[in-house]
Amino acid sequence: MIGYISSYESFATMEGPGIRFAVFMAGCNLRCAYCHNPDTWTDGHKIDSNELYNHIIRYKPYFKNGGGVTFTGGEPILQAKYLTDVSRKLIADGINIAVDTSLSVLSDEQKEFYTLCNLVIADLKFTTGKNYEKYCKKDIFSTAKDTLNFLQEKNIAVWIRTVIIPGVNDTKEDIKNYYDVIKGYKNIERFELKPFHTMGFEKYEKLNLANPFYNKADMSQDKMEILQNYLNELVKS
Amino acid sequence: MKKEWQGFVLGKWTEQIDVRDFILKNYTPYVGDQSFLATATPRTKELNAKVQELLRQEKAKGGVLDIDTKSISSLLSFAPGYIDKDKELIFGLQTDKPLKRAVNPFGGIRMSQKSCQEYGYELDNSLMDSFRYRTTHNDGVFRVYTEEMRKVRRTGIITGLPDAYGRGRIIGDYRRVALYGMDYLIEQKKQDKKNYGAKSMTEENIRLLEDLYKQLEFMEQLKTMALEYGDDISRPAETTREAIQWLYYAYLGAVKEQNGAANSIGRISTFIDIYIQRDIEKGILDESKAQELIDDLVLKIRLVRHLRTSSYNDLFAGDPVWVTMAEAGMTKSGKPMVTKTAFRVLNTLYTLGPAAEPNITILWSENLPENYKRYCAKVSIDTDSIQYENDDIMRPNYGDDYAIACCVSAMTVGKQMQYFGARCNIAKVLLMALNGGRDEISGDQIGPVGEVFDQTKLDYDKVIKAYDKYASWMAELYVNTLNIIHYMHDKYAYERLMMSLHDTNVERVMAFGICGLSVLADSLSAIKYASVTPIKDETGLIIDYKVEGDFPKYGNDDDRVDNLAVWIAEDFFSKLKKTKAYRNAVHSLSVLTITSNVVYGKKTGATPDGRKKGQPFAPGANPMHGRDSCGAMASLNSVAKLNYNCCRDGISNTFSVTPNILGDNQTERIERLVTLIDGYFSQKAHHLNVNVLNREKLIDAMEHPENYPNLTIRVSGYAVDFNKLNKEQQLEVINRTFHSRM
Repeated sequence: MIGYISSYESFATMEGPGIRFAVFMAGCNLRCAYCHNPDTWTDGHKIDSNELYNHIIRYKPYFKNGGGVTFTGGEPILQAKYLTDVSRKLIADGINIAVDTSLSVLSDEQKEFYTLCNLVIADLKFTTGKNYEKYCKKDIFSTAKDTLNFLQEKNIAVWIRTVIIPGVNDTKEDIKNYYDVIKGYKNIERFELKPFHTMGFEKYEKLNLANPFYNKADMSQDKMEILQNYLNELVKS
Repeated sequence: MKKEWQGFVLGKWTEQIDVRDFILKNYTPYVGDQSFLATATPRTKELNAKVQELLRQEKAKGGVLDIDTKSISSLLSFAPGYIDKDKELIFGLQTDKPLKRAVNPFGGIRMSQKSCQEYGYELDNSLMDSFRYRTTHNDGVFRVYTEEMRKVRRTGIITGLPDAYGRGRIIGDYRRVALYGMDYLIEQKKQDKKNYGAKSMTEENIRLLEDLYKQLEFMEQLKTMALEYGDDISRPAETTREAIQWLYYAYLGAVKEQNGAANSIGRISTFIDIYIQRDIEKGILDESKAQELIDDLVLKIRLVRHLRTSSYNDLFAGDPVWVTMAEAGMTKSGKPMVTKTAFRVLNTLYTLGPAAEPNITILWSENLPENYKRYCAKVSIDTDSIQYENDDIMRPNYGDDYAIACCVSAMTVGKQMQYFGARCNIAKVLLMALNGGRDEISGDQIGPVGEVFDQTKLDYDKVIKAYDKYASWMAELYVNTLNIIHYMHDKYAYERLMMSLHDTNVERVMAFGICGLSVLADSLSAIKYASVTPIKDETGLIIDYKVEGDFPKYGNDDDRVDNLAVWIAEDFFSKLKKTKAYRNAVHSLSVLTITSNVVYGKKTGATPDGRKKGQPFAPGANPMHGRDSCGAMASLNSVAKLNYNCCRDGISNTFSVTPNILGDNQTERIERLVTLIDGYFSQKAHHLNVNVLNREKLIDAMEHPENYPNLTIRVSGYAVDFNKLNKEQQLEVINRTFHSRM
């Protein structure tokens, strides 16, 4: 089976536990203003699933302590059938599967793939359909919630990850809204706030793409700490 | 039985010299964590403060604090020296004052004279006179060198040859002195002399008998040296302090006698632990005192110095002495050899602060206790001072009582010695092949005259054929050159004390080396997969290459080019083996550069991989800077493919990651680093230098060295005080690949 892949990172450590081989799947159905991987919006390289499997398996010696493969992107679940095909082979070798997704599509294909995952890193971007429409050019909020429900039903571990952007979702009130969406889910193991950064800006220039947030600065560390502390309080209470 | 052995489990080690048997019968394995460790005592802190002040003064004076220009370095040429006699627990300095350097002219008097002059000193006339009619090792070598050998040496195809300084890389079994005492060792050597004296007097046997005479002479001198400090080492050591002290006297005698490039102390922590354990059980030692003794030994080691010239420093940057100290590993029967003292040695990086020496080398096995592995990872993350070598691939060849000489060279302690051979620049061999034997920088005809390639797209098969011819010529010349060097070194600068602490019937290994592996692999890959066209100057010399199209680059786990790298090493090794080595030495090969990758780059013209003339090579077996673009594991996987069986002298890989790629907190970082080392070594890889730091820190340290008095980093098989590197070397380190978050 053929899939479309943008690039690899053989030493990924943010995308799940242990040492992970990250596969950046090509193509995305969203156009987030703060995307830090716009290079994955294009078609990518055609890679056969056997070839991808053979490539990943070379890194098995580093997959102890919970490590494994993480499919990210782009929106990896657009190619759910392909991911299912590759994952089945990897699982036969005892390799841990994670996916990093915006939860933007949910049909039988995605459901089948999710059930193979040890971990879903869910990029919950916003808490209203309006904001999705405004900043991602597509309202997928209800699909995201449906996906979370599905993952809870199947008892698949989830880490929620939200990028905090200056002037967009950086108030305590915003944090409360996120918390209200995810509280109560038993399968959510972590809720991580990630600061918006300008490191991806170079890619926009290189690709000659308009950068909607060109005038934004890095999210301040102090403010992140305040929000994180506030979130910790909410979780405790 | 000797009274000093009371409390030890006896065995065949009491009947003959067999330190390994003593260790295996007596050591106490430890699987716990570091929580038992003691912190520095006030005594240690005060003594360390004095040492730190001396080091500061040494740096301020341009790298050399003082030189004794009147005496020739030897065991008895200086009065006892102290840092602070009342506070010291372990005694002994190379000269009468700490950091005062001694002159050691046995390698060559001119080198000593030049070193003195470079630091504003003048070698004393009486000393010059006494060497006027004496043949040094250097004199001997140059009496015999052929025109061709001089030429390859001058152009730098072979560089760093030990023909004007001590060859080093010999590890005396210093533990023997502690366990047996000198009188017993002397008695054994006398017996050997008697036995060999009964054999027929071949040239080989006569040479060995003279060697034994020299050994015995220096064994007596070592006893006298120790007596001058107030200790009688004719008998075995009775306490921990004595064991460490006896062992250190033996090491000290060795570095007083000769100034070899690398003088490892061996594998001593498990041995010392046995004494500590016995004294703790007897109630005459506690944890804090045990740590103090280890601290004191390490402080002494940090003061070992040799007088070098600046050209030497270009090759081996940062004034290293490679007091390599190996620890951990497994026994042949599969038991970890980790003891509490393995932790205590690592703990000195906290009690005394990070430093480049001793060159602590972890003999890593997948089966080492997890607590110890985690502590090692923590120490790497905190200090960037230690390195890792794969016990699981070395143990089958060297047993469980080997140590590491210099950066990566394994040898069984007391049973094997090495003839160090620096390295050959194989990237330059390719350029010479394309230029028909001419040097691409000077234009001089160096090798045999051959066909010069045209200014048309290079044909891979034709290039390989030409390379084969020149590599064969080079390999033969290289072995022959080393044969001369070591013949003369044995004759004029024999390591009497070190060799007296070896079995008389020692196995000899001749260690060849290559550098430029990644440059040559990428160059061949470019010729094979892209289009490379030579560019000539007006004299018809190829001085540059036009590279069109993309090609696979070593360091990305791509077999197309990685297999070329594997082939280069295997092929060159098989070529070396065709020429017999001096004194029946066994050939071995390393892929290691020390820091000479900068100098080698400087002496090498543009290469077909697109590297510009003069640009530094990557260190050791590393991929070229920035060309490993698929992440750290891909880079490690490429290096892991190199065949250790043809590179038994070591395959060096220096690896830098930023702290935040390893994880957000210390626990995650430690766990990932352990997993990474396990993963790399499970693929039969050999060596890993680990640095966990940010590039920004190094840049800041270059601009504000005063803020980083002890910034230690791993370079290539050793650690170095970053501020002792010259600017060029600092920049090269900064330009290396740092695996970081995207």
